[in-house]
Amino acid sequence: MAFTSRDWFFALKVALAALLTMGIAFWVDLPRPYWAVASVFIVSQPLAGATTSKAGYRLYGTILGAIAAVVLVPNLVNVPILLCLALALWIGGCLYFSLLDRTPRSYVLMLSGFTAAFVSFPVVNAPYTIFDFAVSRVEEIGLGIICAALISATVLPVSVVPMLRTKLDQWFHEAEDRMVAIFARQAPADDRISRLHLACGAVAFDALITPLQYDIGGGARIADAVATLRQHMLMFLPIVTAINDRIRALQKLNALPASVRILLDRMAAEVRAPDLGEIESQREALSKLSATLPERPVAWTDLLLATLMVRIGDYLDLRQDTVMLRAHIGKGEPMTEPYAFQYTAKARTVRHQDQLLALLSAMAAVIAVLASSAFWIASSWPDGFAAPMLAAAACSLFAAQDDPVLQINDFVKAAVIGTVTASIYEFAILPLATSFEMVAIAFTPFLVGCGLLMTRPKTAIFGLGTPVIGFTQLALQDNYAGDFAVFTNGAIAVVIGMCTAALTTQLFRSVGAAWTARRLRRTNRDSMATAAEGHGDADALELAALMLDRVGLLASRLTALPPEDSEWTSELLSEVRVGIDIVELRRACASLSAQEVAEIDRLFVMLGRHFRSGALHPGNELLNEIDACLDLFVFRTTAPCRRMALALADLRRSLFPDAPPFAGTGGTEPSRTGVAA
Amino acid sequence: MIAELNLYGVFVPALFLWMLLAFCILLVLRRALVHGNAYVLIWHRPLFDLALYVIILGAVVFFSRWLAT
Repeated sequence: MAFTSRDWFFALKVALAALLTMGIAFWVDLPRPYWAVASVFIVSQPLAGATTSKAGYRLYGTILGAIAAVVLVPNLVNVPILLCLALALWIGGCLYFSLLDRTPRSYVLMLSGFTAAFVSFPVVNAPYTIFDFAVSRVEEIGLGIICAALISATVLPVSVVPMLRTKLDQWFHEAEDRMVAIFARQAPADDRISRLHLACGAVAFDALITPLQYDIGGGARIADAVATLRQHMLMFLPIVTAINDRIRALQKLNALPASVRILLDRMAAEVRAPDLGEIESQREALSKLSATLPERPVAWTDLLLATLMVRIGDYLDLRQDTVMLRAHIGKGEPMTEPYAFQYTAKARTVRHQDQLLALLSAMAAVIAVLASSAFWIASSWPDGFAAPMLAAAACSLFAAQDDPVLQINDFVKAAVIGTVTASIYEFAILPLATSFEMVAIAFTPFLVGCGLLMTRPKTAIFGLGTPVIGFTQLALQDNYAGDFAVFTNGAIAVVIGMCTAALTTQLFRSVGAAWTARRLRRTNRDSMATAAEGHGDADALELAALMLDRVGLLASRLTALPPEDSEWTSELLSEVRVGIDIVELRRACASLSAQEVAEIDRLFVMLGRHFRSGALHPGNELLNEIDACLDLFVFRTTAPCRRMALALADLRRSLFPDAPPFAGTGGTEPSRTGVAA
Repeated sequence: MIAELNLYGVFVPALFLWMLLAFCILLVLRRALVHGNAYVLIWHRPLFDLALYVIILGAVVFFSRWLAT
């Protein structure tokens, strides 16, 4: 693999930051200068904004962890078992809450967990030094963080904005192809892969928003616009899927009027050439078309047309916002106009949380720390304190992965390489170095090499793990004179700690991507069942945002699923539609009379039962129930009844795409298509 | 020799306090500059901020000396 100039610049910048840190640390005589260097590698990332944000979070986390250690150690040091238990619980608790927050901010809590271990365990034999020790740890880590952030922001900084624009262009290119195919009525019947690929791409923008907020230059000004655009991108998916479904259903019945076809063609043309004026005139055309629909759509085709037009209206709102947002992001300006498609504040920020997985990760961390400290206490091994330290770090750092064990195992390998490298430096090279310049020259090739490894996703864990563990090993020594016995003891303890972490994680938390994907779907269906059994106080867009977030997470794991699961993955986006419909139904219910509510109640019970059951396709009794409800509501003229009828029609299409058209049994009015064909 | 301040029994290097003070001044100044749209004219914002910080720190140290004498 060839490294680009960009990779080399990154590696050189990391090395420069590390050397600067080392220089300052030696100059002001910090007790363990190598701690500071390890922290440079932990926070350094190719994007300047990402490094700055991570640096800030790490600083807060370190201070919080140090405070916890200063509080816990002097009070509990006389009862080692209690101290270990308290620290293990602190680490597990921090990890649990940090995993519930999927943004980069979660790093603060995770770090405060294992920093407490790093500050407490080495000083249990001399608890009176805890305050000095904690202060010097904060100083060392703070120094490393500040140097890394300073170098990454001042020396050839890499802004996230160009990368963001490229990624947005790629996403919209793919999405627009699909929209044109749908509006031109040439969409393939089943393109679930591309649809879900879009969901996964949109969710992935989350990772760029935090670096954007801390970006050098004007990036922060557009962070809000990008966050809204991400949510709009996700919302497009169920709406466009619904439009596609209605077009196909109407075409099948030969009931797609020419006027609607003209509008669709205009929409397809507009997708290729964004034009705000054209969107506005399409909206006028749409409202004219809606006016030609019968006051009370009774016939199935009229119901379908009515729902199609509502969705096209949503689409046009989204499209208008998106065109404006992209123009503003292109110019690097914040969005000033009001949005046509509005969310509640919660719908924009709501994210999926998995309590069970967070709890399992936390439990694995607690048990790893307890087990390794039990080993350390039982064997009364003075240098064993590094084992619980590293167990805590290894359990925390990779806890967000589907299967952290793979990463921990790689980290163990990196630790062994790091330890060997550190021993070479400690016993062969550093004794020859008599000045800082010589130390710097000796370390440079190692630092640059690790920096280069960090630029590749495949080797990143080695680029990170080797220097972090290597410098940690060097830092475990109290003095600069190499003591082989102390060094070897430390190295063994580090490896034991990490192996304990791998073992407990494997026992409690190793789940695999396919399991997570199935669980995400299960959670989505539970949310729908809850919405069906609820009381109409939910917000449709909030539920949709939450469900779409899960669909996006699930989509990134599609490749891990065996082929027999493809049956349900193709239903994912229409399930989001069902979720929206259920909430709409519930909300419409709030303005119905008590008698009408009683009539529809059975439907909600059946929907709830269906989504809790896990069966893929609902039974015919649900179809009959929907038809019976439709029968009740299509002939009523009040506004809530009309909303009910439309939501029911939407629900019927999403749940029973292959069912024959609805034929009203209670109705006496003749079937007719309202819009002239 | 580095001056130290006695904060209720904890000795803190004076430079640390001056750095914190300079940082607070920098935060205020930066907000003012953002408000006045001055960063449009600046090519390399982080480098500018760093230089500004060094200047403020220098000024703070100078004034502390001047006050002490």
